[in-house]
Amino acid sequence: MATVALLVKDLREHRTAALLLALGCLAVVLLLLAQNAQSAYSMSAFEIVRFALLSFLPLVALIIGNRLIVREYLSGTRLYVEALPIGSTLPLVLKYLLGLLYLSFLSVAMVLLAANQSGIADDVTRNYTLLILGKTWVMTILYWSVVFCFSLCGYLRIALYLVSAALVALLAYYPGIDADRFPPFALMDDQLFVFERDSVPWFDIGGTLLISLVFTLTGFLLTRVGEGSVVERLAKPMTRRDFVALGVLAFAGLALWSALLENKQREPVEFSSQQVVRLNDPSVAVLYLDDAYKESAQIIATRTHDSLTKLQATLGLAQLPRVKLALIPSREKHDIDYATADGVLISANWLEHDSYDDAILDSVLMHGVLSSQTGGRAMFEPYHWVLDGFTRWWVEQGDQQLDSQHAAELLARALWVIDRQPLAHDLVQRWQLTADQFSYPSAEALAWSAMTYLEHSQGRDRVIALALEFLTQPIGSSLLSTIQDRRESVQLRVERVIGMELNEFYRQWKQWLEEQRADKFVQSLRDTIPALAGRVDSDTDASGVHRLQASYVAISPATTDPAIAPGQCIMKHDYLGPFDTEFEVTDDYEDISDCTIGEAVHVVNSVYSPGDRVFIALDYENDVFHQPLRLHAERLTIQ
Amino acid sequence: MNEPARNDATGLLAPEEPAPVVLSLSDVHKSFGSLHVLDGLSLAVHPGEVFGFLGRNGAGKSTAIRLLMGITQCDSGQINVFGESLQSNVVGIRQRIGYVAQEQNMYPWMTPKVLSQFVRGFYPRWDEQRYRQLMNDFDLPPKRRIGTFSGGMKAKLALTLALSTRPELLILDEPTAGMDPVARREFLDLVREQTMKDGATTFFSTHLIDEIEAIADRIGIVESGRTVYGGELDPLRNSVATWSIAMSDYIPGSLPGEFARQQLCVLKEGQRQGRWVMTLQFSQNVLASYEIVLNEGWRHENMSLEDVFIAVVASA
Repeated sequence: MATVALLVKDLREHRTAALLLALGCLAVVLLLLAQNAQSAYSMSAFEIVRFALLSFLPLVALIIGNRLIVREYLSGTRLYVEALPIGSTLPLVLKYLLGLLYLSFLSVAMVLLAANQSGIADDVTRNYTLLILGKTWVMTILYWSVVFCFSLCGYLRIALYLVSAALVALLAYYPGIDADRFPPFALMDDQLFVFERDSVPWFDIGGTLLISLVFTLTGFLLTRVGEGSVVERLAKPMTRRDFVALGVLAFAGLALWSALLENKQREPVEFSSQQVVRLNDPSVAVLYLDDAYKESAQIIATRTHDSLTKLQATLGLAQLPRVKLALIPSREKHDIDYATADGVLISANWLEHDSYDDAILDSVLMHGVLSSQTGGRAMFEPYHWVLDGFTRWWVEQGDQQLDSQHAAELLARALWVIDRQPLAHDLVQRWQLTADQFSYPSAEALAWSAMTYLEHSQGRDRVIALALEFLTQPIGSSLLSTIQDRRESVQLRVERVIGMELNEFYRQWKQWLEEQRADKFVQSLRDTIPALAGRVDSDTDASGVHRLQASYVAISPATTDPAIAPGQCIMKHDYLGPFDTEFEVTDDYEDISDCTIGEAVHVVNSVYSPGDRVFIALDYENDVFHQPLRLHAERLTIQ
Repeated sequence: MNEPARNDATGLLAPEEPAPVVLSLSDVHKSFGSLHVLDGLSLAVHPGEVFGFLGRNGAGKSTAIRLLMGITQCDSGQINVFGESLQSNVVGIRQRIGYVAQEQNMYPWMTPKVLSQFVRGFYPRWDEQRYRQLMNDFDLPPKRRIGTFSGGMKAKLALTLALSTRPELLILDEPTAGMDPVARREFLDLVREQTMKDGATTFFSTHLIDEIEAIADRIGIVESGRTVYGGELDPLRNSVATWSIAMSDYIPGSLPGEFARQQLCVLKEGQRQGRWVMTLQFSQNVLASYEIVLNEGWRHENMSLEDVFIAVVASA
């Protein structure tokens, strides 16, 4: 009866706050999940759980601790309860369990909601869900144990939270300390928390539970020291002197943190070789490494510098990121690497390029520049297509005359895409899926065609306006700037710039694109792409070796010739993480063959094991198109 | 003259026949660090009586009550309640005790109705009808938040709750602290009336003499953690007397009368307003049984119970 009375009392006292808090938390989780669902492939639904564990779940624990424990001690009502006929530790044990139960409910609900919202590609199995659930619950136990212990420290608790936060920040961010290697940080590893599917991190779970146990026992012991006199002495509101001390502590911590961050900042990376062409304002450096390539380096440096100068003037950008290009003659001509951690660094081989290949390279470069300029914001999923379309548009016709050959190839690609997927709305709304399914060059061509139509129908300024709207400003780090960024939907922002409803724009753009078939050259290019679809099977041969088999089927009745395609069909495959982040398969693992219908064209004794996730692409290459066309793409879990 | 048997703890006279006790503390010690709060406290409370537990602030009354309630534990000594050791069954014993604390730390968000729903879960002998009756008698609003109650109302509510548990022992720890005189008198009348009606034993802690005079059958005076008196009020009142003599007539070392040294102790002596004043404490029956013949120049000074208390406490 006493236990029930205590529980009912706590429930009655905190039910409204607990209910509102739970609803608020779950609403935030649902909103984030919904937003995530809208942004195909942007991240796994379980990333939301990790985000919640790192952001608002600790806050919820803090609020619950404050209500359940701190308030009871500060107001002295504990003294009333301790005179009732009950065991001395029972009220605290019940409070501990109640808080843990509440937070566990929230964390389990979050995981289940995320599991429910996960896409098919997430491959949410029972064991995998249990693994996420276990890690989430263990972290929840840790949070509650810390809050429980600190809540019993009365007026010292705020100082303890600040010191703990500083310690956590120090461990998590200070260079030289790899916090992800030990618990509890290892449990929250940004890769493993979501991507680890099979291996249970027993050591990290055990370590985290041990830390939780230490905090829990410390809390209970604290209440026993001096028969509770220590806790009683601490259970006082903070005095002015405490606040001043806390302020000094916080200030000192911030000063120390700033100093540490200052030390952490490093000088930008520069090419140290003498064989570099350097141009300034905007900064372009081209590393050529051999005097034989100096001329080509000079050409590409000048071309890039001119293009960036015009881009800067057109978009009114005060400063552009530093651009560094490194020539690697051994590379394939379309094998371009780029990184945006420190300006834009591109490594590629441009020695054998024609003008179309140059445009590909320039487009990648511009993509990097605008992405870096916006702190990665330009790649935000709902308007990633604007970035892809604008960069290619800028390279092709933004600062020079559009080459008709380029235009024809791009249009033929775009037409092929809409032939395969007629719903332009879907193509744009699920942009990463489009890039995944049809490969990046085709998606880029499609986006370019949208920009070209916008220019054609409304003038160049509208294209520039669209870029200004989405591709120039980094999102601020404050909550306010985040809210400002989200106060208007991307759709409304696009509609405001282009002056029409987006669906109407899609309709007109698609109609214009269809009209381009009238150009015989475009149509002739389009006709070189065979009407084939790919199919992939995975099995094990008689000797137990795993095999991947790919075949092609005709998707047009006219396509009957088994050797219809004059080009080559290539199966590319590679390991894939467990979730569908953006993925571009390399040609490290590929099988090249003639395109024939109805039989297994590619039979590969695979290197994969059961449980591996593999990305498989079936590309078509011919002499007409500079880059492959993707006939089929699939994410496969090896059984 | 045969000297009566003495109580070891108090150094004063013990009851002639051992009576049954509801609660007893014998040679209880309790320290907080280097601070000795209770230093051999002993007392006994008999069934049905109102026992006044008297002492100055800081004398150790509240610590003694916390020990009695089993909230804290003594360092040494024995505490028995209802004939059993407190530590052997603290929950069961508490269920038979009604407790009114010095400060009413009830949940301010609760109404008396909600509080009673909460409290009844802890007491198997909870009497809802009595609770309602007392609420009505004390004129307490059942649906008003306790946070809005005055100190007196909170004390009445606490007493209501304590009495509604049908306690065999009612422990009141300075329940009238902070009350105005009218509210205090009203509260004491209620305690007297209700305990008389129930026949429950009452342990009433206070530092106010008039409260003790109003309701206590027996008292225990605690000072510096020790019992300096345990017994009825009248013997105490009759055992202490003050005399004075003009300074010019005072012979150092002289006594007001012809008393045998072993029958008295000097509680206090000193000069006041040109007279030498001496307060003496006798064996309880001395003042009642002897007709005191005063030496020349000495005169008897009237003492209130408060004067007696102060003298006893000051000499401890």
